[in-house]
Amino acid sequence: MGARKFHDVRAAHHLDIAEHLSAFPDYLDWAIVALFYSAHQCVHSALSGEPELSKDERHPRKHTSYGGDGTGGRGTNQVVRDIFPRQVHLAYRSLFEASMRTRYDFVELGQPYARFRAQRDLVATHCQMLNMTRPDRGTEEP
Amino acid sequence: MTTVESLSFELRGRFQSIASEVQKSHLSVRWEPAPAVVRVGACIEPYSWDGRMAAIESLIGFERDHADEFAVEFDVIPLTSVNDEGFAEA
Repeated sequence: MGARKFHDVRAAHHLDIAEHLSAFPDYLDWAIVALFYSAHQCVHSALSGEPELSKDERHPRKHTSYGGDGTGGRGTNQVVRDIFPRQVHLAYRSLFEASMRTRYDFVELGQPYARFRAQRDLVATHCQMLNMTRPDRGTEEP
Repeated sequence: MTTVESLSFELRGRFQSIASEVQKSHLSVRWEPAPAVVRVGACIEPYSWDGRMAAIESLIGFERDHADEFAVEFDVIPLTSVNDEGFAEA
């Protein structure tokens, strides 16, 4: 059995949290964290059915790994870089970076929630489209 | 051979090429050979949406061009924040 459904449910859950927190300016930083994790789950949903990847890279355990010998495969960031369109990768890395920022940083960006939400939606739409074109793969497949 | 000096030199050059969006920058670079990860702290001014995205695009281009050597983790933060007490208190 594949992991796609699990990741899709988590992605929706994290998006709900982000939308809820976005109503409170004091918690904007955590709203962005939830947006990133929603995008992260969308990516893992799509990777779960990726026909060209080994088990380790369909279910990356790290955000960051260059994927050389003994690393257990590329991290999620690097798989997204290598197999997703450039703009989707840029949006994903922006969200990842933003998930480590503070509310103080965001003050200088004005009201950035809508822009980060658009980046999350770009990633999510790409992943949903991929999932429509192919079945999931079993988590135990090599 | 990968060194902090060689990485910093290349990154400074890449940031010069986005000077229209990022007028001032301070880069701190750490090289971790065992996991093969380059950690970059990029303080930029102005810290605007366009400046931030230009910096991120530059950093992921740097990673892409060295994909068989290392991965890159980065923070892009306002240059002013490192001198501001409010940054630590937020």
